[in-house]
Amino acid sequence: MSQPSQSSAPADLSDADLLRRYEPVLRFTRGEAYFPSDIDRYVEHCSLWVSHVNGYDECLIPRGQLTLDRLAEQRWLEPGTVEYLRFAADPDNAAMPARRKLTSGSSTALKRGFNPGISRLARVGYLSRLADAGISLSMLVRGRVPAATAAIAEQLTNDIQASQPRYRYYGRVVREGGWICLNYWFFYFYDDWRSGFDGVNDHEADWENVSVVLYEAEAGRLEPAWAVFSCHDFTGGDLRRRWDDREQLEIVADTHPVAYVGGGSHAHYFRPGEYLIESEVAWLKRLERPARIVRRAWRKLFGDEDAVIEDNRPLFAIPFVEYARGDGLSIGAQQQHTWEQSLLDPAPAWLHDFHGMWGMFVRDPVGGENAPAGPMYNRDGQPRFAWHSPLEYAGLDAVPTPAQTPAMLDARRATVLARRQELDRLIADKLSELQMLGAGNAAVAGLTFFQPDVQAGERQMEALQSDLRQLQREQIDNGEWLRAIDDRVKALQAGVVDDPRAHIRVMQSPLQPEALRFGTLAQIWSATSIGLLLIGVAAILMLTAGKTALGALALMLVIFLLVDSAFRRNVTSDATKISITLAVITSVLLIITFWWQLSVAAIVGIGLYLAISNLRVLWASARATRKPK
Amino acid sequence: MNKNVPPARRPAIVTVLAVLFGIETLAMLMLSLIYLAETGIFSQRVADMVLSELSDVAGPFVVIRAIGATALLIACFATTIGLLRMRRWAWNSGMVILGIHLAEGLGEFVQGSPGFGFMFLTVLIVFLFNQYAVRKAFGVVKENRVPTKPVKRAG
Repeated sequence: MSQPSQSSAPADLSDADLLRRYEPVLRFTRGEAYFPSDIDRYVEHCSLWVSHVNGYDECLIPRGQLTLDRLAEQRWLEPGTVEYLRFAADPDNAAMPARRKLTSGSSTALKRGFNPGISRLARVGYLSRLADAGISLSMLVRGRVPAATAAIAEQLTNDIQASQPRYRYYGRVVREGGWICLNYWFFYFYDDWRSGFDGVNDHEADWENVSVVLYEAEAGRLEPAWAVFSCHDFTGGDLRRRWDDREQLEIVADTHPVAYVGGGSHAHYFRPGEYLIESEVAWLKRLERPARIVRRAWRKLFGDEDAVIEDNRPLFAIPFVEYARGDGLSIGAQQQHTWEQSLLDPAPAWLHDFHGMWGMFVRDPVGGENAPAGPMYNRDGQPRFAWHSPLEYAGLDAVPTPAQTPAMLDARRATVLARRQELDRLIADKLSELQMLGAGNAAVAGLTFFQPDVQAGERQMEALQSDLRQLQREQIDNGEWLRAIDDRVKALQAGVVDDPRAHIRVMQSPLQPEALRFGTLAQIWSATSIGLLLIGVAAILMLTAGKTALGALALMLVIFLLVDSAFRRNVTSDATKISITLAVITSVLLIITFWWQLSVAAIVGIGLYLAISNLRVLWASARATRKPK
Repeated sequence: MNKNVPPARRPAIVTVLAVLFGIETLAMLMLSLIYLAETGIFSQRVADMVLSELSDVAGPFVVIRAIGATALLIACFATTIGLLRMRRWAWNSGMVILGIHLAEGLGEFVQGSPGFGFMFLTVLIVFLFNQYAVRKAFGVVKENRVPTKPVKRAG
């Protein structure tokens, strides 16, 4: 028996002890105000509300009277109503000093020591800045968490933590498909990604999760295999890293994976740094397919090989910079603060009986500013994937444990082998039947009287031949399958280790420092360019008209793009893109203008080509005929 | 520099490209002559000859146009030489010049006086410029960002 590794655990540990042994380390960004804490203290400071279908909001349980037990009480509500909590947004907090202390435009995260470094807008292109401006403007009409709420939430959180600082996770253990998933849930009182860290949204309450996935390597020993970190709305294999991939996964004291927490958003990252997160624009998704077709055509036309990875990324996405520097507070083993544990097994009543939102419901149609529901549910009350199917959430549902793999391969091999034997028999039968039909048909082929039978026989033979071809094709595939399975078994026996990142489609990597070389001027430009562009458009529309206005607008756009490119040291590449775009527009205009002449020219071209190739064949055969034998 | 390394052989498509760009340069030369003649820097006899041989298309801001066209002519000429000598900067500057020509062509199209021949020639050159063989010859093929190993789907 091999020596158990330092990271392994005895299989007979209780769930609580298992959770303790592998509890993650969370490292936050300097300036972060919210840390995983307990829900009972949060709920005590909340009131419970219901938003009726007609838009009327009613307080069901006022602040001071709400407890977790009361939260779980079953209430009759008409369909379409939304239950939600109010924490900072409770009307009782309206007179809090934090509200009066709010300073316009100054992020509270900055005051807490957060340094954004290079401006977020300076790191992204023009379209992204335009989309960002669109999002900012949409906030004027969308439901949003008011600015004062962030300040009040911070003050309330500080007050609660000051009385008794506590850092808590809610844990459970899920055993499924041979895997043992240690599921850690973290509750944050508030998410100030937008107001604190220039992100996408703010909302009250935030649920995030981290999982450590183990398997029974040998009788009585559990080995960790994967760490799974939640990150925004992403799902699948990209969320997990293999335990032995130490370039990607940092581990403290052999058993505690380190997660770097995004400032304000509380998304988890495997490496410290700043990330460019792409938020997909849902309403542009329908343009994705034609856009990809154009891209592929472009690649084929110009042999541009730039892109398998690009195909995995959304085409229409707004990039945001996420700060997961890990230079702030850290919680976990051997850190400044340690965890307190609460088990979610058996599931408490509040977990499955409260389907509502854990914070303010602001009627944001996009949803980003509405508070999330609990770990079990999505905002719309539907079951939350990450809770109900943690293996599928991490893309592990199709992956056997290393211990199960040989047996799985054996089983697969046996299935293929059985089918192979069956196919041998089926092919032999079909072949025999076919030959028998062929022999019969040949015997009566010359007899007029049997012509209808001969034709029917031929049709039957065609059908049999088609079946036979399919079976033979399957037999060939099965042979390949068997060889591949045997190779895999040999590789496993030889101890060949798979690529730990083979399952990752899009690898999130921190921005490289050299990509961040911008001057102050570039940052001022990036902050003001969209505004200046819009003012320029207005000025042109006021001062000119018709074709001149069109030309002036195009010229201004090109100048803005080139100035931007100059700041990014990307003039040549961007100028090339502009030239190609202009060439495409010009081509379309030429095709529209000269479609008749171009069609005639194409017909003449095809005619000439055919004539020349036929003449060449004729010429070659004439030469061959003339050649003396 | 290692003198033993033989110079890269110029692909035929690059020669074709350089010739077409040379034709474009000649067109620029004619345009520059018109603008320069309009500014009055030639003697009356030469100006009359130029303006009678070539159509008078110069409008307002003729001096600025003349300077711009001359600068573009010099750039075109240098680029043609650079293309023949297979210099990377020539490919870059060529794309910029073609962009300017296309913008000019589209502007004329919008104004109602398009030069279709010039537009067609420019589009053809842009197409040739971006052929893989040409980009490879000038060393401007984008770096392959695809990982060297095949990326499997989740599992």
